[in-house]
Amino acid sequence: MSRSENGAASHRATATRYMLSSLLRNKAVIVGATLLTFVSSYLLTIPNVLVGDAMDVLVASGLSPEFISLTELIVVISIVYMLSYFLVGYSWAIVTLRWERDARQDFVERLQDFSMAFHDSIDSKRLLSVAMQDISWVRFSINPALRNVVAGLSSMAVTIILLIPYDTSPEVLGIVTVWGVNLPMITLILGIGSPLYLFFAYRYAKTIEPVRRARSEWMEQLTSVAQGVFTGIEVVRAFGAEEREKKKFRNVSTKYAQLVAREGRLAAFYLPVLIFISMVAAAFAYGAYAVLLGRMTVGSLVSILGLILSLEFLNFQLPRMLLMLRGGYVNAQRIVDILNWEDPLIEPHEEDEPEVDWLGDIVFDHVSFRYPNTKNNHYALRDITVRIPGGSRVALIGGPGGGKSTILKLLLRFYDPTEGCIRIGGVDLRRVSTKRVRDAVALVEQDIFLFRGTIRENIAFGRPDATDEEIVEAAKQAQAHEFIVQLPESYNTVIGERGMTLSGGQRQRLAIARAIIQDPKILLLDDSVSAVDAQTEYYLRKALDKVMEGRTSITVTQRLRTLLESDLIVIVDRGRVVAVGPHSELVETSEHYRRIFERLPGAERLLAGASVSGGAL
Amino acid sequence: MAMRGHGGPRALAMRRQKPSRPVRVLLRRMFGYFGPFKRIVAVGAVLSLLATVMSAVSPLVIARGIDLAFYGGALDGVVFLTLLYIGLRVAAWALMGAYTWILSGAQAGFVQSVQQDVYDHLVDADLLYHKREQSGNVTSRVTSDTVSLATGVQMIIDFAGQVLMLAVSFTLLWITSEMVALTSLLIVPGIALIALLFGTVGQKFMLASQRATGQVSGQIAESLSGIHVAKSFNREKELAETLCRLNQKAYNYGKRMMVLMTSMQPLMRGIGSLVIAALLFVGGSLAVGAAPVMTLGEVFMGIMLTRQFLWPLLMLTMMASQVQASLAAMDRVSDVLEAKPSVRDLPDAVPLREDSDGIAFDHVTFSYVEGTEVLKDVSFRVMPGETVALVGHTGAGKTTVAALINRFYDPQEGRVLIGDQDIRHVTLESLHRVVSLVSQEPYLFDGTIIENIRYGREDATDEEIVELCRLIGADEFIEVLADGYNTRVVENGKNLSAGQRQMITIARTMLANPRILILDEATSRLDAYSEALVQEAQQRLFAGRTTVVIAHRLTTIVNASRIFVFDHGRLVEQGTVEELLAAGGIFKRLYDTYYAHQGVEEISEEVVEVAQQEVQREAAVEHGPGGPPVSPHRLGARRGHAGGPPMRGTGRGRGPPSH
Repeated sequence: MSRSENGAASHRATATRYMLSSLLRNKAVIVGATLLTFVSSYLLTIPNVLVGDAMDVLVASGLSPEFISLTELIVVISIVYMLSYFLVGYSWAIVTLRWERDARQDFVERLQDFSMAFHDSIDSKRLLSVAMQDISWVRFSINPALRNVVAGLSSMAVTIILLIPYDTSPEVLGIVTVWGVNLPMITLILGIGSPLYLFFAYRYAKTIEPVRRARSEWMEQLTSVAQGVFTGIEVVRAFGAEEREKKKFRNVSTKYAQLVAREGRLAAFYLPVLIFISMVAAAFAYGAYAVLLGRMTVGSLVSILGLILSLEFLNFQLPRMLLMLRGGYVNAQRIVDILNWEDPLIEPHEEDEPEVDWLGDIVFDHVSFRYPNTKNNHYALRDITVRIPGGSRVALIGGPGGGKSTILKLLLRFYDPTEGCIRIGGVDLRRVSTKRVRDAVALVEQDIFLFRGTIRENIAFGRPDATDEEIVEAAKQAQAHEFIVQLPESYNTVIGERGMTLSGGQRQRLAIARAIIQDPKILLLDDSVSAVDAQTEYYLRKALDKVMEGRTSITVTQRLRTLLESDLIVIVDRGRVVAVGPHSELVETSEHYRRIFERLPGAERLLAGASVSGGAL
Repeated sequence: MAMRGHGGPRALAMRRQKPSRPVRVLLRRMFGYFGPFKRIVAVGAVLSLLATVMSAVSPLVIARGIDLAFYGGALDGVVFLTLLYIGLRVAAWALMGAYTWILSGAQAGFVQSVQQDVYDHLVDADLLYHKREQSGNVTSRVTSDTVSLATGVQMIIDFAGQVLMLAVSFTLLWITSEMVALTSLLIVPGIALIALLFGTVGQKFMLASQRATGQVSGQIAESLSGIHVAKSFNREKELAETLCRLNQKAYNYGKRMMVLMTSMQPLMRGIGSLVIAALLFVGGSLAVGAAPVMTLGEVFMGIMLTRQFLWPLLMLTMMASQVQASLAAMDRVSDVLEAKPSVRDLPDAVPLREDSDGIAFDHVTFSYVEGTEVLKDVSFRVMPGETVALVGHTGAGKTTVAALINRFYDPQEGRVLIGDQDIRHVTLESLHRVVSLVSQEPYLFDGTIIENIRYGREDATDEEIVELCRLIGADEFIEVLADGYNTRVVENGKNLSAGQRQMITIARTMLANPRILILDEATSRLDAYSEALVQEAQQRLFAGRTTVVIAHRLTTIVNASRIFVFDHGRLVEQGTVEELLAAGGIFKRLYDTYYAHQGVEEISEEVVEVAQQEVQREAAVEHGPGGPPVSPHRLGARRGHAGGPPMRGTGRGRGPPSH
């Protein structure tokens, strides 16, 4: 269920836009909440004025009803404040949490849409950490960070507004004059102090943020070094590399410690505090002087000091929030960089899509392929031209890195050829959407990946609307039914992330069942499993015979028998096709084939009987 | 002070964990790491206390000033008090800054020494420990636990400051007016209420929210690591829907949590305002009338002082859970530090001599878990320069033999010898220089391919590495990778095929040029042709060196001069292929089950029948002597199912799979 209608998935070019998208899509709520923030700040600040007023009342008329009602007013205001600021927090919480939920969903959906050119080149653990951590940090930077910054600024503004009247009352005029001009002292103190205060707070965040970022990057580095070594501890032991690894870690942890110390030192001596102290001291000196002169009431002095001192919480809160806010920007940048990835694989327009005869011939027409981001000039496939007749069984052989699995990837349209084209039934694969290609083409891959869930769910992964009968039927065809029903919960047995509790042969048969139920026209099998016992081998052969019926199949294999039974054998080596033909032909004409073939277990006996013509062994 | 934040209200909702060691022991160990910084920390503590006292008494100055102005005084007095106020606060600021400055160095050093200590212990820890724990959990001993420790230490150091702040503020209040001081205590129930709320409901909400977020994370991890499967079956949308459901759930729990967290600030400040009203009322009553006991300045001071200790009081309630969390971390770290690795250099260890590379097992009995012996009274001798093959079913003990030659573990009974030296009395460093193992599950480190190969020998030149790769046939596939030898390995090599990964690990070991080579199904994922290339290279480079091969293919067995057949932890047969086949024992059965059909001949129902019996017979007993334990959970499961139905898999794709 895509949430792209919420706007978070629309193409956003900049990190700032990404950060603010949460607020922009709920403008009314945020505007309302901001207004309410001002109201709350007012409610939070006004008791300071009332305290002063109450003192004046006290001085004038003692414990009068007016005094009592002022204290009661403070009580009422406090309660209203709690409610109103809670409402502010509540709106921000809902808006930003919703955004976080949708941003995460959109992020993952976008990644899923990216072609394999993206996924083959990036560690999924890193993507996971961006999806979880970075998106959370962007949210933190909005709520609480931005929320608190807004609240802090509004407290500051309200305080200044409430302080201005103390300069405009006629009594205080002329206390301090310069060249005959009355100086509104309180306004001046705050008018000069506040911008300076904010400037230094901002500068502080700006100085520390890069150090903090570097620190967290080194923490990541440290984590990945440690994790790598603990996962591969056997290798470390086997090579006696313990001391080497300790030294390597020491370097990273020293660097990390330096950054921790550096951040701590930068954080010491937070300058804005000095500005704050100056503001309090100046207001105190001026106010006390005015009271001494009898031009100001003691209540006013108490109000002024109370108001300014009420901003003290900013000393603690503002730097943290500004740091978080700035940090969030870098997180947003990381996310946006990933989302802005340009996919080289382009889907055709729906209306332009031609009908495809999937059982037609598969033609590789001068296909060359280079993986994206290849830095050297090496092609994984070079000028491959092959025609595979529809409905035939093809065996694909060759050494590692020869290009076998690349060919399979191209047929699934995980990638498009760099040059040349692949045609199925005469249609260029580029003109067919990946969705339709993958409906018609199924892959049983080399390292079988099974999802966490039941066996039933894993088979039905091939076609979610499959009925129970169809699932059992597919399992039977794949020779998997027998072992499944012997499992403790039969088809409802839950298997681990990589099907850990099943053996290699069982996993492979499940994968075949998963492919069968999809009913593909073209079946790709990356069958490079090592030796299995006779029973498994027997079942696998039966399963494969069954599943290849009525389909075009391309199998990467090293099974002697599969080679013999294939209609066509394609040998790829270093990205080129070196020979094509059935076994009977290749064994006579291709030296390369014989070289491979004679190494296969059991081949000697066959070769001994074969007549050899052309090319010495 | 400003920067040293602590989880905010979240800290209150943290789960409290009970450590297994006495708090005293944990604290002593924690502060032990401050050893080199003791003086610095002491100086820092003094600075911090001084700063606290100075800022705590500053409201007194303001109050005096108000009174001075109100009750009539001299301008000099105001000037003096202003300067005093500035002096106190600036001094407090400077002292606090110095404290932070000094302490951050000590803290960094503290974190580093804990990290290094824990890491070193973990690198040396028994393999059994690493097999049992998930690597992610092990890593968090070094990362999150040490950070949590540092936070805890910081808290404890801050604790004194906070308490002092409270004590000074309250004493000042008390001196001024007992009534006002008592009134200020009105905040205590408020704070207690908040602490209670967050400690109970908050904790519940937080746990639920964390669990739900964990599920989201797990789902995303799976969607992304299985993306190729999702794509090839067009199932992206269904996975997105599952995620959407979990995401919504996490949102619901997160909302509950966040709404509660959000209420903290208005609650605290609201309580603050309420107390002001109360103080104003009480103080006001005392400041007027015939015999006022308080001045107006003192009333204002009461308000300032109460504000001043509102937050420290809340901090103190949060501290408890943070310190507890950090004690729990120290506890976990202590487990690591106290564990003495059983495999380590003995005091009398000497380097392995170079005179003989023969390997001998002398009545070796070994078990990973007490009671389930994996090797039983195994004795054999491999001559220097000889190549032997180990064969047997999954769980027969082959991989364990390889592990014991590497001294990954020590046998409970008997001895493992190289030449005539018991490897227990040999330095591990010299042993691992001589013996090298290619294990069945290729592991690649993060880094480039060439860095991974160079792991075998640090000082190898690029040319040497390329030359070696050419020799074993790895060169051609490496060169066509995106960046050739400098291609980065992604996620333990998901950008490489299983065969390619194996090739790289083989190159790595060959580069190390060991005198004794142990190959544990090292070429199982290679095609026959590449395997032949590797074997030829091996025969050329390692001719005349002692080699132990755990075999999965006929071709490998044929090259061995002798074959050792293992069955349920015992060495049951040994000899050449011909001898063993002629003998018609277990090897013959194995041969028929696993190797014969690797050729082309039709598998008859009869062979399947034999194979099935063999597999079932094997599986029925396998549940006893398992392979290395993987996790406590699995161990339990395994014991529980002993003698269960034969088709239930236990191995994880090792050896010739038995089903």
